[in-house]
Amino acid sequence: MAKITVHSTTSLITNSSTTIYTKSDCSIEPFKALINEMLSLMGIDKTCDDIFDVKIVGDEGESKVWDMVFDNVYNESEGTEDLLLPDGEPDEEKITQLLDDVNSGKIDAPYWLEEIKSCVSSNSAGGTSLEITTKDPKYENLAQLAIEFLYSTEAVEGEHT
Amino acid sequence: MIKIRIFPESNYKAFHLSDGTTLRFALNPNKDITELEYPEFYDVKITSHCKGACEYCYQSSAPKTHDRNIVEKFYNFFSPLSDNKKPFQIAFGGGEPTSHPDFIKVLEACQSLGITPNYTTNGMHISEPLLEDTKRLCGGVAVSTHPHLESFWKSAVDAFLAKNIFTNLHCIISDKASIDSFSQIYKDYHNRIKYFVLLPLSAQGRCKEAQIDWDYLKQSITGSPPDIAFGANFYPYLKDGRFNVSMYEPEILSKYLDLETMKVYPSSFSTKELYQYV
Repeated sequence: MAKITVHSTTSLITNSSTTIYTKSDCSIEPFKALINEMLSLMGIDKTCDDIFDVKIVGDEGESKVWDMVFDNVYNESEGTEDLLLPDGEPDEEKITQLLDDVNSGKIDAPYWLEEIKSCVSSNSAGGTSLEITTKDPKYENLAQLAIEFLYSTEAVEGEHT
Repeated sequence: MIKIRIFPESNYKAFHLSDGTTLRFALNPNKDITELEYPEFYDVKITSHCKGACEYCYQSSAPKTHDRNIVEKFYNFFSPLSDNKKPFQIAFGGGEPTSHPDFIKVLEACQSLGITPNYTTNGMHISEPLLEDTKRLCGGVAVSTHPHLESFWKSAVDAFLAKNIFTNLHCIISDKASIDSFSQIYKDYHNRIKYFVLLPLSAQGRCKEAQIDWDYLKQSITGSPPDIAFGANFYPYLKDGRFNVSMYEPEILSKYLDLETMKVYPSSFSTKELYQYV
């Protein structure tokens, strides 16, 4: 098993703005397309799906947001009172529900949550983490080669056909 | 075909796939990618000429005389670059780039250097030869959805889609009316267009900066659709986390080249001249 972090992806750029695409577009499918082209270059008659299981693993930014919300509730910060259980402990279900509702656009983020998200966003190196596992042990070496290729800085500059 | 660019000093490695997708990796995933000395993509202005007469044009484009040396200038700027230093792609704009008599020659020059050309148009100069050349040479196009040019841009979109050309729509976002207009366009073209690129007005040229009704925009979009993209000037708004977007510092990956003056800027909406290519 290996973990890969894709910093960002873009499609074709058609304007002067450094367009920022949504995360759901910047994860598994482009990564699979890259692996497929790499396999093709290596002359291997397999696809990414033949060899690997690829899934998104916990978004570190979202995880940090959750932790910071929990801390805010625990410390009874202003505006977070509704997220406390009767015994004074943070209500984890309510916290998760709140974040889901905000992320899906059902409700606006309260001001204190916007501050947390802004803080996490400006301190995050960003990226989407993918977990890659081989479907068969015989592909382990191939997986290692592919990952080394992704991060190698040697002898692969420029165009490859 | 995969194109690869590596700049370890910027903690950057990127792959450009044949379908136009670019994937970037931070060589050290715990650190961010920093500004590239050689941009991954350029915005290139080839003319100031435009008959669109948009009262909010940030380039102050208007009917003007074309510069006829753009192909030579383009080669002079880009051909000395090694493959690693060449951008993956260029977005041509203006003015109205398709109005320039040498537009196709520039696209051909771009393609011959291994750089994917794309362009933005107001749709006023669409012709069958242009469509054929676009299909032959370009990765994709964007059509600007200026309200007063609706008949032009709608015809252009239909023509591009009929040719199965990768097509984005550019939508200017400011007040509630502009957001309502975008919502209608999204409803009409959803599932036919690759990306709806939202661009805020920028106080430059003839454009006066307008407040973006961010709260209303957030209310108007359900969830975080993968076919809605945001221009760099939305960066401070996007930091509130409402939309699940892939964030990076604006202007670290791209530059803007004005082929008329050969001046390079961080972006087309920046007045900070970086240098003039001689």
